[in-house]
Amino acid sequence: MLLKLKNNKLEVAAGDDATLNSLTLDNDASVAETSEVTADIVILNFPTFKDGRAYTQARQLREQLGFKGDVRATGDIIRDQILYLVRCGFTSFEVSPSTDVEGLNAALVEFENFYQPAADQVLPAWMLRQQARQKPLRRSA
Amino acid sequence: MYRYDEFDARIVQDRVSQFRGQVQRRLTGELTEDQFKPLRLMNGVYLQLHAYMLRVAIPYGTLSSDQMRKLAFIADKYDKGFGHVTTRQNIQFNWPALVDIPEVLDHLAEVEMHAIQTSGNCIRNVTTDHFAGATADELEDPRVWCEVIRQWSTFHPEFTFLPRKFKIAVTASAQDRAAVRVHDIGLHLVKNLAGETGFEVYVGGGLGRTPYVGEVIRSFLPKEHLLSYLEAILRVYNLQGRRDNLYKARIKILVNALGMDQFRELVEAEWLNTRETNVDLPQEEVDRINTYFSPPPFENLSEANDQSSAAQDNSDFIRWLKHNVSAHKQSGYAIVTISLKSPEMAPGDITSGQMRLIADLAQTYSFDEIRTTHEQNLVFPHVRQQDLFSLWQKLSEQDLATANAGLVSDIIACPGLDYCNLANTRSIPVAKRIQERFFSPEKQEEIGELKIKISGCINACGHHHVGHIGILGVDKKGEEFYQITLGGSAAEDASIGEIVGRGLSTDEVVDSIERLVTYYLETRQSDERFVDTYKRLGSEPFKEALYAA
Repeated sequence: MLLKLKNNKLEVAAGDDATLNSLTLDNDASVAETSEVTADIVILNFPTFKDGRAYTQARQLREQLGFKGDVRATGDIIRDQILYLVRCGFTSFEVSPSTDVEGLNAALVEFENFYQPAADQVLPAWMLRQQARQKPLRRSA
Repeated sequence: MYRYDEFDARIVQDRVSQFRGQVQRRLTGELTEDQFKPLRLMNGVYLQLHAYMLRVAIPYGTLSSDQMRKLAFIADKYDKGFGHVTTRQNIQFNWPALVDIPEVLDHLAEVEMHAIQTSGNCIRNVTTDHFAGATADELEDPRVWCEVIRQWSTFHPEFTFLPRKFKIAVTASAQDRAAVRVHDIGLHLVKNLAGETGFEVYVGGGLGRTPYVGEVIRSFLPKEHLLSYLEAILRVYNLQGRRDNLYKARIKILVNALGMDQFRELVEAEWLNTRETNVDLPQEEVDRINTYFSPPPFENLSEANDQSSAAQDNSDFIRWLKHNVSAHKQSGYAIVTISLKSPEMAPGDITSGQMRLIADLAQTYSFDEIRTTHEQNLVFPHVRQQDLFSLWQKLSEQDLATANAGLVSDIIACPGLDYCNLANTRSIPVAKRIQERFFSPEKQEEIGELKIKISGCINACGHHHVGHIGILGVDKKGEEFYQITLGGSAAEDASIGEIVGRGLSTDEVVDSIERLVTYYLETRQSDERFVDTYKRLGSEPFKEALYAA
């Protein structure tokens, strides 16, 4: 089952993306040494959910290569890592058909704030603090 | 000390809710133990020999009185009235039921505490000098940078499933009380030739089964680039650290395999990228954090010890002054080490009653501030010299004035086979027997600084590799043996102790250590410490003394 991220929500994808070009990157492949990715989809694998190499690979694709296409996670994906995956720039997920999609969506919104910037567009806490200082909240009378 | 704002508080509250859900899913069977294990570990929950264990984070070892009182409450309600201070400045509770842990986390959150990343293959609680902000020999308060690292590393999306655990320590003094060179990353605040402060960065240190002393990867890192540089190191490690063998997965193995020059090149190349992100904090945010670490409102006092005859004639007090009281940067103040190495207690253990007394005394005598040390003691960082005698009297009432900081009975020991399911041998009983053998305060004083560290297995939680005398428990066909290492140090002269020979039986070990000490006392020159005499004479004569029987 393929899940796609839209507006920070996962939805079961209708089609199978057969017409798009995909590139599967091995966990040992160096993104840093790649100059350009022309594929529409880059597929990164999690041999077990405890193997975290693809988090770095995804961030490098997004932040160093400026890759704008779909970054897809395959392999051992569990609910408790979904938020980290999205923060690192993954936008689609190949999961087993029995996956509790509602549970994954709940996990995506478990945290409201983050301390560090990543590949998502979320502002880290220090920037929110800065904004709060510049624009003090208006108190209603 | 640092106080949470709305963002910090929200992150911790969200974490409690998330963990409550994870525990629920484990209890219903939705999560297998294999899936749950890394999740609970990242929240400091271990499954030990008899029960679950919860390791609570004490970021860089700084606690308030309110926080200490809350720990006492947790010790009473969820443990058996004890807490255990660890070698990473944290505190452990040994008997909580899994189903109660979310509730414990609620209690902790009320006082801005948590158990985030106290275990698991992620960036662990950052540690520092327990005299930070009080000692005269520091360039600046290293806890500002510890807090910067704490925030950055908390739920870091990229570095939560690393090959293995990752420990960072920071010091700002020439005298290294934070053991930075035996950490995955050690940060030492230094001044460069232009007079600017920055970090000397060590990488690849660590204990465990393959001990290494960290080497310098960068002799000067401008402070403003701390986080982007750390991110570059972690990124190289996350991609290239070994994942095929648990025992070869720490960064020290990678650094050693590549060689420091190649590892450095990879990090510097990655740093060009991480510097371009928003990870480095603007000065404004560092300043905001810095304000929480401003010195307390010290009075203008002259150097003044209690001159009353009650104080001056009390030899126990005078001995405590000598060993447990250290110089403060502010005139008229002192730093007090509260030993958790009384002969009556396991090393690092503290009762809930002692916690409450400490909390009260910290409020009266130490600007509401308490520190935990990696040597498993506590510290009051800011005590008026004129109050030392009355503080000592009150500490004595609950067996908290043992005058042995840095002495032979101030032993670091892991929980060992009494609690831990990794251990091969017991550690605490060996520590107790050594303390009994050197019971006499006069004898301890004569011996002087001697750091004994005991680990009940090769994982080295008792830091035996860096003990002046290290003791490692090994299991040989169901029998406990103890291997001795000599000449180790975790301080600025960091070194890994040498194994001197065959393991000793439980019956032999204390006599053998006494022979080592006797030999040292006979051969030392002037005020040489044990480890200095060892370095001067080499291992041969000590080996002879050890096995002389």
